[in-house]
Amino acid sequence: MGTPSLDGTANGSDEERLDRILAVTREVLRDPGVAADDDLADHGGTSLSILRIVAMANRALHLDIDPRELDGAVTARNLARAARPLG
Amino acid sequence: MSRAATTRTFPAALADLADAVRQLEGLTAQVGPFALYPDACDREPELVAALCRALEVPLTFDAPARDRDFALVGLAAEIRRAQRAPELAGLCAEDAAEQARRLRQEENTRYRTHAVHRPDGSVITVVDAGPPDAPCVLVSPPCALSYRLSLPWLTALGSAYRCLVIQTRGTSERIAEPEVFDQRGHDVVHQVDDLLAVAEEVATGPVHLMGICGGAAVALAAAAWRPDRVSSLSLWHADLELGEEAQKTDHQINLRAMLDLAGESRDTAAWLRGKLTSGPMTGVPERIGPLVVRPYATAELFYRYARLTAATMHWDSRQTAVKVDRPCLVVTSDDDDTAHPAGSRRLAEIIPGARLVSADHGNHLDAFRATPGQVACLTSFLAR
Repeated sequence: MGTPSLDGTANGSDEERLDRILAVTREVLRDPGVAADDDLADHGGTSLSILRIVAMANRALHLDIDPRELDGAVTARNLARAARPLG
Repeated sequence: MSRAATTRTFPAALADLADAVRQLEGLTAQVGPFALYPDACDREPELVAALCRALEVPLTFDAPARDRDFALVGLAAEIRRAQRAPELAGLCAEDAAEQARRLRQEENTRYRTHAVHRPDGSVITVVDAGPPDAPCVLVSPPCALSYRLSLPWLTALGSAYRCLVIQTRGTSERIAEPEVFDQRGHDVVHQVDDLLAVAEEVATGPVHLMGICGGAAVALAAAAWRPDRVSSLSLWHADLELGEEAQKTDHQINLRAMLDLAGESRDTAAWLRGKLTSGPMTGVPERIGPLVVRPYATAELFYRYARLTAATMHWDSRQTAVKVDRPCLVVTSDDDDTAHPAGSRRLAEIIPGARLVSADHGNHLDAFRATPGQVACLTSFLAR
């Protein structure tokens, strides 16, 4: 079974987006063991490191993430779900 | 009831609330009237408003609730907490305001303020405490942070030492034309020149330089370049660049990356600030939170904080550390997870004859606490 899609449906682009966000997350947290549904706080994530992920997603992936749309625990999946392509 | 009798009954909670308001005086001095959310003074709106007027801190409590800005929440946290003290209930706002004025007057007598005018037009604010003819300790704090964070040191040293705290250029005077900040410059060289100008114009004789956190890079360079103005040096929980020779914490890496980005332009700073403050800010300490959050209060302040601090974080302090020939004390703690203790340890190896003191425990903000142990450590070093 592959990685679940962001919205629960088989959607390749969503999976790709999640993979990219996850890669950025692992790089910023310097932790290759972060999984898509892990609470980033459990891996040392702070508002500063999450901001850096948001900034890198903007610059490198051309995705805009509005932190206001993050509900509950911050995970790579939630970040990818909140991400919108830059206009 | 007479005014004198009323004064005697004022609770300590009022001084606490006055301090909470004054934590924002540096902010309003730079940006003018500043709006916080109404819930910051939900229990005692009249009392808080009266204190703001009395202390000349023009805060309003009418920020629109839509798209909540969590920097405003952090800035208001101490007022919100302090105004909830049960002892404040029923106090006459006018009498409380009069008492707050007296408290401010007493504090301003204890802590004198000087303005040092620099050739480029910058006005450097310096806060001064202790006997004017006593040996002088000049504090170089982290960029853009209020002198009020250093008050515990001023209080602790004030009986035997004259203690000066410099405010970083561009972070205390009223902002009229924002771009003037860029035209005047904000590199480490500028900051060192400001520190040396304070040592020359305000202090009498060589000073003990005390570099705290990011202020250590500036203090170190000043000691290396003008040893005639510096009698000795102490560096507390230093956050500086030593190349590959010293490990950094995640916080140091992430902060520098964020500041590099924010310092690109005012637009980028505004964008980044919007993202940062759209959710709760982690790591904001109790009691002094507004002082720590202040650099994030507006996009312009954030931009300035980024430019000034990134300059110190990129400055390679190895080049100045090897040139220091003054007695030097380096203080850190083994579990400082903000500025990695490896930096202080390496610094103590590089600076000729430096003495390293590393506590088993202590967080980064302990550098501002002036605990009895820290004060004894510094005064015994100064008395050597």
